[in-house]
Amino acid sequence: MSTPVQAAPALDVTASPCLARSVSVRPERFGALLYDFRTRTLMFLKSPRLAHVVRLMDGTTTVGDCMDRAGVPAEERGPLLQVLHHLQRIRMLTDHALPEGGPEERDTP
Amino acid sequence: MTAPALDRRPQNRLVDHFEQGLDAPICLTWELTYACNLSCAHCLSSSGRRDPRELTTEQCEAVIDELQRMGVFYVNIGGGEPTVRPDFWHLVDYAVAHQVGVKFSTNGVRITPENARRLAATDYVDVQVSLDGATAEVNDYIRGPGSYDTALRALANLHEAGFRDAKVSVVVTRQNVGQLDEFKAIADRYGATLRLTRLRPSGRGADVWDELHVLPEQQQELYRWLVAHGEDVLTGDSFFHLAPLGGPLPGLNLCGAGRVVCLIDPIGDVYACPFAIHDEFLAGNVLGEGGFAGVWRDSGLFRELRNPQSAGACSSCPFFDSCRGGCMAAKFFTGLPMDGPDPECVLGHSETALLGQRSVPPASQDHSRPFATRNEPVLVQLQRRRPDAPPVSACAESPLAGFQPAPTLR
Repeated sequence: MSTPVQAAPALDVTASPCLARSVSVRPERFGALLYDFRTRTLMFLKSPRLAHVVRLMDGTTTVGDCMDRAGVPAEERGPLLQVLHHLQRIRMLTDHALPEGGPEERDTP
Repeated sequence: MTAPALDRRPQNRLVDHFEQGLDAPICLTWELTYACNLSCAHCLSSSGRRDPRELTTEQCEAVIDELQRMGVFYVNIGGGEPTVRPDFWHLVDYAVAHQVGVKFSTNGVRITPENARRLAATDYVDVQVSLDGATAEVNDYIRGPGSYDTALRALANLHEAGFRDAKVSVVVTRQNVGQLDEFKAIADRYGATLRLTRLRPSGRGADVWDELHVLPEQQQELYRWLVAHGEDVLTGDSFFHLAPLGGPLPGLNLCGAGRVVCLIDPIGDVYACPFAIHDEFLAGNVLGEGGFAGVWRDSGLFRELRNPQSAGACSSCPFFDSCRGGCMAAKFFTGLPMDGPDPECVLGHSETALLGQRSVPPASQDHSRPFATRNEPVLVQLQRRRPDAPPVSACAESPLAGFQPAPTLR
């Protein structure tokens, strides 16, 4: 990868976050679209493997385990953890496990 | 808007995926009615009167069900003035209950304190209040008398009800481009976000485009302002034609017509983009056999738009990659060739074509009111001028007017 990304902060492999309840996922050929209804933010996950990792995150499994299960090769792990860190920073990922249901379940008022 | 890091690999450019079209739109505009209490001079959809064929409540619910099945996250609801539809609030609730978020555009006429409280109670609804001047003078000139006060009252009601982050939606014109800081101040005052979009020569906008669209030197001013304010200001990705002035602005920088966006009109007709309500861009109707999904996936027009487009006259331009020839609708409605430069090409490549012979396409629908109302904007300013001489009132066209024959003597 090019130099600027080396400096970007990355998520810790031992963290076990999951998608916030307000976030919805739509699978796409290039990866997936994420939309946060709370902040009205749209994000593009630009690789199917990254989308797979995000789908596997359930709030109890560590990111490292999710990457193992999704078969993420070693050279892709660094950039992927940076993207996950960004998702956590904008609160699309949260540290708290969902009380029930999967990450795609949403609040409906 | 895009995740960092992974987008630097050239073989995985999102833009290439988008050019081929997605299985469902990312962003869909739905004009719920052609009825409107205002008669803005630049209305994209030539709205005013309701169309008797407008979708019924049940048909609208069926469209929402389909959007839910397709995974469309949210719809941009507009009109006309959508809130004047008697079932508007029901449809908003129905969409939210079916996991389809709603952003709606309004002139503010029905954003009462009570409705504002209702909106503040959910995260799934976003409101855009249209305002085309930071002062009543500039706004009401094109949106009609009283419309400035209506919009500001709506923003105040939303703010007081605790609605967070409403949008102040501004179409940038020759008259208001100097007020961008004032618009930002208005948005800040109401805890809102400023959204600037481009004036399109669509609908009634075709009649006033020559008078209202920003001048070349104003484009520079606008571009500098957008760069300085970056992500704090939303643009609906509408200024990608300015990219050659110094680099791309935040956003996709791509014409998404029929690829990632489209429009459903009040009678269920599906058009390639919100700025292209014209037979030329009509892809089908949601009431057809395949429904909306069928139109999106199979319409001949959309398939064509998803094929690589010819750069035409722009192929030799070094900036083609950043602006991609600009806006399809802007070219079409100003009578310019589709494979040439945008009418507001910042390098001036369309100047000759605009001055030359061109035929502006006639409108294919018009729901404007047949007669002016008292709220209608009047763009022509009448001036009172003292006549040089008293008029000859009787039959002034006659060559004998004013001629007094002498009495004939016998």
